Amino acid sequence: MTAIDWIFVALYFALLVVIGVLSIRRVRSSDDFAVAGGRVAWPVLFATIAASFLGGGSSMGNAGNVFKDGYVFMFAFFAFSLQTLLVGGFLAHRLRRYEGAHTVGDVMEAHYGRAARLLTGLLSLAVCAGIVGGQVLAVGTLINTVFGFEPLTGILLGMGTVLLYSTFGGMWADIQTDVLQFLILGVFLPVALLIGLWQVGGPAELVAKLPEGHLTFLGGWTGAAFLGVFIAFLLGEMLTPPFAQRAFAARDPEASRRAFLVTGVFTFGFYFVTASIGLVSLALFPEIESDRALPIVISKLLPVGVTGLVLAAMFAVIMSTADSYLNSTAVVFVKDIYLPFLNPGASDRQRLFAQRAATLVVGLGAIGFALAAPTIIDVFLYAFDLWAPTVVLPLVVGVIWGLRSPVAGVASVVAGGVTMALWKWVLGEPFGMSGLVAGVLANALVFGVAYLLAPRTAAQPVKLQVQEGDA
Amino acid sequence: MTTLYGFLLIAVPGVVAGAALWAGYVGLRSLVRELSDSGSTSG
Repeated sequence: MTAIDWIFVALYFALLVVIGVLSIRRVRSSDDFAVAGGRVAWPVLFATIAASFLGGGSSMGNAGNVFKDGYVFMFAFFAFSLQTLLVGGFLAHRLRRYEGAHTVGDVMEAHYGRAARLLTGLLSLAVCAGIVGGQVLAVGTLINTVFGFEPLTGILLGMGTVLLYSTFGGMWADIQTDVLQFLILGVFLPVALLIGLWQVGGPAELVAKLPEGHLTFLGGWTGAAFLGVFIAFLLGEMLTPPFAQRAFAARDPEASRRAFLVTGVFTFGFYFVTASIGLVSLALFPEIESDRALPIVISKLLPVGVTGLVLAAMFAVIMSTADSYLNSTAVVFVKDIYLPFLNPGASDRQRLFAQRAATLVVGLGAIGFALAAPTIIDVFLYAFDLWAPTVVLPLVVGVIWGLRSPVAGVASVVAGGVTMALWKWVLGEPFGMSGLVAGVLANALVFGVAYLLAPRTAAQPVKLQVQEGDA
Repeated sequence: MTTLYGFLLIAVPGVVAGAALWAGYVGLRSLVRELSDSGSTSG
C-alpha cells in the first residue's frame, strides 16, 4: 500500500461519513427511518438492492469457493440471480401494495395473525445477525490479508463506521451510501479482473493453468450436492428483511418490480466477475487459503492507486450489505417485537433507544456468529437454514394468492424450523438431503394440510390495507 | 471454446462496469436533487 492508495481508502470513508451526516436531517419519522418515506425511484432502488445483495459472500465467498471447486460454485450462486428475477416477476410489485408495511412481519400478520408476526420477527433478527456475521468475517479476512493487521482492527474500522451511519441516518443513509458503494464496487472489481487476467497472460494462459474440472458445469460435485446448494441459495435469502424493506420503499409497484428484475440480470455478470477473479488467483497463487483468493489479487497484482480504489470497492461490497441488515434489525425489532409485544405505548425516545440497543446486540451477535463459523459461506448457509424452511413459503403464497390462515401460517413456520434442526443437528442429514431441503418440504406439507383442515379466517386485527387489484 | 471464454472474460466486466456507472450516475443525480429539494423545503 502506497500513500495514494491510503488516500483513496480514506476518501471513501470520509464520503460515507459526510453522506451519513447529511441524511440525518432527512429522517423525520419512522417511515423515513424504515422505508425512506416510500418514494425511491427505480434506478436508485436497483443500486441499493444490488449493493445490499452483493456482499462478502458474492465477492470473497464466491471467489474463494470457485478457487477451491471451480465454476460449479458460480453456477450454484446463479440461484441468487434467479431468485431476484422471481421476486421481481411475481412478488415485488405486490409487496409495494401493502400500504404502511415496513417489515416481513407486517405482511405475515396480515395473513397469519400476531403469533406469525412474532415468529417472523425473531427469525428475521437471527437471519440478520447471521448475514451481518458473514460480513464481519469478510472484513476481518480482508484487512488481515491486505494489511496484515489483526482481523479485529478491520472489524472495528469497517463495522464501526457502518454502525454509526446506519444507527443515526436510517434507511436514507443506507440508500445514499449504497448508491456510492454500488458505483465503486461495480466499476473497480471488473477492473481488478481485467488487470489480473493481463497478469496471468490472457485467457488462453489462464485456461492452461487451471485444473480441467474447474471450468466444467459440475466440476467434482455430484448432482445432489449441486441441487442442495442451489436450493439453499434460491430460497435462503428470498425476501429477507432488507429486500422486503426495499420493495416497500419503492415509489410505486412498477418501480419495485423493475428494480428487482434489473438487479437479477446484473448479478449474473457480477458473480462471473468475482468467480473469475478466484480462478486468476488460483492460477497465480495456488497455495493460499481459499477465502484469501480475492484479497490477494488486490494486494499483490494491482498497480499503485488501483489497489486503494479496489480496496475501497471491497469495503463498499461488505459495508453496504452490513448496513442494510443492521438497519433492518432495528426496524424489525421495534415493529415486530418491541411495539406489539413488549411496550405498545412506547414514546419516541424509548423506540429510538430500542432501535439502537437492537442494532448493538445484533452487531455483537454477528461477531459471535462469525467466530464460530469456519468460512464466510458457512456463515450464510447457517442463516439461510433459519429463513428458507420457515418464512419463505407462507410469505410467498400469502402475497401471491392472498391466503389467510393463522393455524397454517404458524404451524408451517414451526414445523419447517424444527424439521430443519432435527434433520441437520440430530439426524446428521441422512439420505444426502440437507436440513434446509427437509425443512422446506415439512414447511410446505404442514402448510398445505393445515390450510385445508383449519379455519381460514385471518387473525385480527389485519392492520394493512392491500390495494385493489392485488392477488 | 477458449475464444468464447476469452470474449466473456473481457466483455462481461465491461458490461458490469458500464451498468454500474450508469446506475451510479442516475442514482447520485437523483439523490443530490432530493437533498437539495428537501433543503429548500425545510428552510
